[in-house]
Amino acid sequence: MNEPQGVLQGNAAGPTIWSTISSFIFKILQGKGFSDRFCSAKGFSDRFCSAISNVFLLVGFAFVDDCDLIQSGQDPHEVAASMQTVIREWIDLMEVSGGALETKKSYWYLMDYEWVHGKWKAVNADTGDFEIIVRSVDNEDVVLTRLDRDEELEMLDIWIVPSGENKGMIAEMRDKALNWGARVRLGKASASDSLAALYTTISMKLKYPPLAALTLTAKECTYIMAPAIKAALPRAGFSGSVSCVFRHAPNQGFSLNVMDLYSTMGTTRTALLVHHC
Amino acid sequence: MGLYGLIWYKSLPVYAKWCSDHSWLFHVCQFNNDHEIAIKIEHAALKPKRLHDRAIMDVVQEIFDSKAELRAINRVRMLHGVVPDNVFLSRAQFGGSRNDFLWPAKHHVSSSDYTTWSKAVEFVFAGTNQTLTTPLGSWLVDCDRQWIGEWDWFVTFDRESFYFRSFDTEWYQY
Repeated sequence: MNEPQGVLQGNAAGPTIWSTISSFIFKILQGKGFSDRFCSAKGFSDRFCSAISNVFLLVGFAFVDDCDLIQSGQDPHEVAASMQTVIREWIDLMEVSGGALETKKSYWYLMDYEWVHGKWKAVNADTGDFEIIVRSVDNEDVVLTRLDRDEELEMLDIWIVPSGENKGMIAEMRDKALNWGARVRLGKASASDSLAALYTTISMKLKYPPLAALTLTAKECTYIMAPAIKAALPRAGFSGSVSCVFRHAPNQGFSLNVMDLYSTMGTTRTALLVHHC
Repeated sequence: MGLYGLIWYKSLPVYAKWCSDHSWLFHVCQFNNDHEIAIKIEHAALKPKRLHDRAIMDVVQEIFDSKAELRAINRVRMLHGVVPDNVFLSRAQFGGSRNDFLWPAKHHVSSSDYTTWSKAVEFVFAGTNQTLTTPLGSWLVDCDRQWIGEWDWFVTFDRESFYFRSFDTEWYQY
């Protein structure tokens, strides 16, 4: 009989413990050469070397039980074979640490880039009948599902697609705003509570994806936020179609201070840029 | 971008004619331009190495107006890592080097891009026997390590620690 393993479901220290364990796994994979090299223009050889040259070696990225592994190269067959090796190594290391790969929730993409009039376009790389085979929890060989370049996959609450399309993520964000709006309309929140909820719940939720992973236009931001605003403002005693100047201007100007998603995206990125340069 | 100096002080409508617009940085610059936000960040920048040196995109944007042509020239420029206007690229690949930058980005260049490039070269080297109309002057030699005084992020040689310089005397270790 298997002994109980893990740190128990709901353990507050779980993410930290996993972060420590996964860091070692990534370090081992990096040590074996399974990393992509990100480099930039300027190098410097001395006691310190510049952070911009050949400093960034990326095996993948992970949070809690979500993990992406990356391999790159010039030939699709080589990249696919390399990914097969990395996944095997990953599974072996997971087993040692008491974990396992959930094969039903694991997928892979293999992308190539085509140049059309000087612009790249992501396409599905051709590797013939190649399949990535992994060992499941039941110790059986399982073929991992390969996804198309247009098929979106959720990671850390963000829908990512290699072709770079934002449609899925925008639809997802709009759905969140719609559901939130429906709950506000049906609920019995007071005027001040509905405004407070708009500031502190849905606005916070919607501002995360643009900051982390995607760029939206002003029109897309308005489209996403509209259901939440149209539900919360009438509940708070204001017209849902009140002027955007009154809606988004700060409280000091006797306005509503509702988050403008597009401005938040732009100003936060500018602040990040100023801080990091 | 292919221009000397810092991107924050350049006019977006000018370099947007030939720069790719898919990057995070481009969108930040576009947002700031649309909202008349000016940011001032001092850090290392590409500078002319000789008197009368001009960036090639600075010169060709005065001659060409078409976005397609400017983009074609920029693609050739980026493929070969060329910034100044006094490097002549023709059928033989340029093998010299005016700086020690290791440009990581390679771009797909078609034969028609080289045709446009050749046309640009005709304009840029408009002097007798394809020389510059204003010859280059003396070298403006910078210390090779001058940029390091303006750089904030460093990593130790063994890559174990990451440092951020907040002020001259204040460092953060990661």
